[in-house]
Amino acid sequence: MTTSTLPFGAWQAWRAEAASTARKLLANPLTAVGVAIIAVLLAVALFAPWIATHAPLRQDLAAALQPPGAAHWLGTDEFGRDVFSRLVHGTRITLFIVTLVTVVVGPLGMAVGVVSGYFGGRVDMLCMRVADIFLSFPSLVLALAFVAALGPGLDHAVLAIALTAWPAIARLARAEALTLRQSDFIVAAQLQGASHLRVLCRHLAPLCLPSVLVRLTMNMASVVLTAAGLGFLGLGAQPPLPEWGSMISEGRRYMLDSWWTVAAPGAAILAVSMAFNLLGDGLNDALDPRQAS
Amino acid sequence: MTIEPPLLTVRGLQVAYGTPVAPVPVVHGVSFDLGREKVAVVGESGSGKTTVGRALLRLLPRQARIDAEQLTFDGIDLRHARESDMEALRGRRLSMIMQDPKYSLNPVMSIGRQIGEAVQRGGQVSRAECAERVEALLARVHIREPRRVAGQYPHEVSGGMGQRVMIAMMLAQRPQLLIADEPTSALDVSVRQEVLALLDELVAEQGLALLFISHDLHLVRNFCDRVLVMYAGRIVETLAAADLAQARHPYTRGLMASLPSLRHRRAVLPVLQRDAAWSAA
Amino acid sequence: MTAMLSIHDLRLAFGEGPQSRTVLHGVSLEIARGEAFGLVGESGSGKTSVLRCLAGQYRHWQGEVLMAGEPYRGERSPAHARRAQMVFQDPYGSLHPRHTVRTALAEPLRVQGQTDRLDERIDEVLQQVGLPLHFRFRYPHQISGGQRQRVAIARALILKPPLLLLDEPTSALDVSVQAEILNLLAELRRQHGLTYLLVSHDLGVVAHLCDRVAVMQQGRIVETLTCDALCNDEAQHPYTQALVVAAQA
Repeated sequence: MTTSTLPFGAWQAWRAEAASTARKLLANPLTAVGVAIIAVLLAVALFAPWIATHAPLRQDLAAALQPPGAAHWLGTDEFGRDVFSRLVHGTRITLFIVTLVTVVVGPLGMAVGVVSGYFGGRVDMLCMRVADIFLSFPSLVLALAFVAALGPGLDHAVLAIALTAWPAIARLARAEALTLRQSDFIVAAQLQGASHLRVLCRHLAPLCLPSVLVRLTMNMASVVLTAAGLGFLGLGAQPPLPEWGSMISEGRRYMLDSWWTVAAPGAAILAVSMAFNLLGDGLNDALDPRQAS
Repeated sequence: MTIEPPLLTVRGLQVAYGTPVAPVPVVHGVSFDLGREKVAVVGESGSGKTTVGRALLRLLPRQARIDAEQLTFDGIDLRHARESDMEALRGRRLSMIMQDPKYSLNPVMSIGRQIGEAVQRGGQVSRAECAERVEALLARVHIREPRRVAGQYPHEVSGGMGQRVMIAMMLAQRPQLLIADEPTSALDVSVRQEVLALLDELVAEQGLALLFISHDLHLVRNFCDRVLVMYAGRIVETLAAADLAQARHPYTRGLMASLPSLRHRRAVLPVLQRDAAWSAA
Repeated sequence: MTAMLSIHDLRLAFGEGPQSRTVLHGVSLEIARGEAFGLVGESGSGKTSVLRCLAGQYRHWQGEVLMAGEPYRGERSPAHARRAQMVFQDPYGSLHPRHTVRTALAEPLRVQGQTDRLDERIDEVLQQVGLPLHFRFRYPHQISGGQRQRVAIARALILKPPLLLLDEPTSALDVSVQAEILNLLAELRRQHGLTYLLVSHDLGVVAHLCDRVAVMQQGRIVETLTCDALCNDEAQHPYTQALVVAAQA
């Protein structure tokens, strides 16, 4: 090991580790495909107004149900709205749902799980029984209940999905915490007089993060599908929002003759959820500490 | 000392990982003979001693490439043996016991069943006869109450007893050569002596050839006949165990000197100064 | 002069009722300031449990423990951290895998709120254990076992505790590395007047580092003697004699 390749600054050390993980990640061709698709998704969402050829909500009944062609790259739906532009703007909605759910579920699940695993005993029992309650609801059923109570809408759908997704993360974080809390370095930290909060945040949580991240990434795939399902049922995004699931729902009636109204959003959902799955798989391999160099 | 030909002849053994273009040699140019005697392969971590043992049984991962000028066991050329030939040899004529019985015994099978599997490898026997043979093997390794132990699981017995169970399993097929990879490192000092005495007995009684892999120089000095000292994948010295105090290679001398000893207390332990020349030819 | 560490009738049991298993049957010992005391025994002797009680890992023990004259009840507080620190057996497990050496060494100081001159103190302690300063930014998986153990020793020393608890600090290391670490520990003790409680199964290691040794068997101390006596075959108890014989076999 030559000194030139070894870090000599805190920022350098961190950057070198991150770069090594990124390299491992992209070394796998399938993962690279997943990363590419997600990168495209992000780019499209960011530049949607410039990429879309038409306004997503503008109706043109004269041009209803046009097949894909020069004017409308993916055809038009029953109101004459350009399918391609709706797809492009729909990426924003998809991204919004995925991000919101992850941002709620990740920290909440990890916090509950890590605390539960670290302290054990009554705290553990309480947390896990609460998690069990939420786990026992299928997300669609809970979404229905929310909609019945609060009315349909995208944010209610997001809430419903998040509430049923956090227990799985909590269980995972708890399992990691249970294994790690006996480690010598945790004991060392406790011996130094660190408070429980410090041990949890600075020592335990960073080690539970990789498996939680992997799980969250794979979760994103099912979030996309659930949101599409809710949209399909009319419980999520409300018309005329170009959410992919509701696009499929609306296009159902014309599916046999105008396949593009359903195929386009369907393909987008497939591509994005598979991309998240591939990324999750790749992250699993790249972040696995057992394979650390 | 009998003058029969050695059971195992190794010349120029080389084990490498990596690609043929850029090989990473782990063992390089290892040559030795093994007759019906106890030979120790001693080295620190990374010296390649465990790799040598596993290479003989071809138990290395697929990426490992094993080459040798000569690798003969009882007249059989191991270099060109097919996998089916190796399977016939492993456990039957060439056997191995490993370091920690906690990890090398199957935790979900009872001891009797595991030894029974080893017995069955030699040919189908009736269940009654198998049970009898299992008990006889356990008694052979000085386990009292063999029937009770046969019904126990590995986690229910102590480390020393677990190691004896491993030896019993190994004995089931009456092998000619035994490779013992750090068999006593995980055991307490007092238990260690018992297991070593057992191995000694078996070597004498069955004319077993024993290749004893260890990091403990003092242990092999008293137990083995000859010692091969390995460093960075090469054998740096071969000598009789009784002559270890007069070792000539600086690595061997350095290792011997740096061990803290009850008899010879020193204020500062001499620290081994590694020489790059030791890892060259 | 008050003893650095005084343990009186330490008892420890696990489980309750008929399933209860007593691990320590009333262990007593005293270590003077600046002394190195060894605790020897085989697996199951309870020697590691004694350390764990002193480190606060086990709280449900009975008996009296005085550290530097102050009673100790098993708490893990910043004050206790300044009195006693521990070096663990497994160099691969005692350092946080995602913390650089610098982070690992800064942590005890940060916990204590002693953040002034942080880098200076880290550099000082790295020099004391013989590690080059550019090791600060390496991760544990980038350094060898012996180097990790040095970092662990540095971490234990950075708060300047008078008492160091050593749990088989060299048993997971190669023979050649063990000699370096033992020399380092002896030198550090000489330089800083530290008090050591060393737990080991290796009589040679204990004889090298320690002044006195207590031999444990099944949760009891069967004999306490000086290392000189041990090396001169003056052990009285048959178990001690057996251990000495086995150590030289």
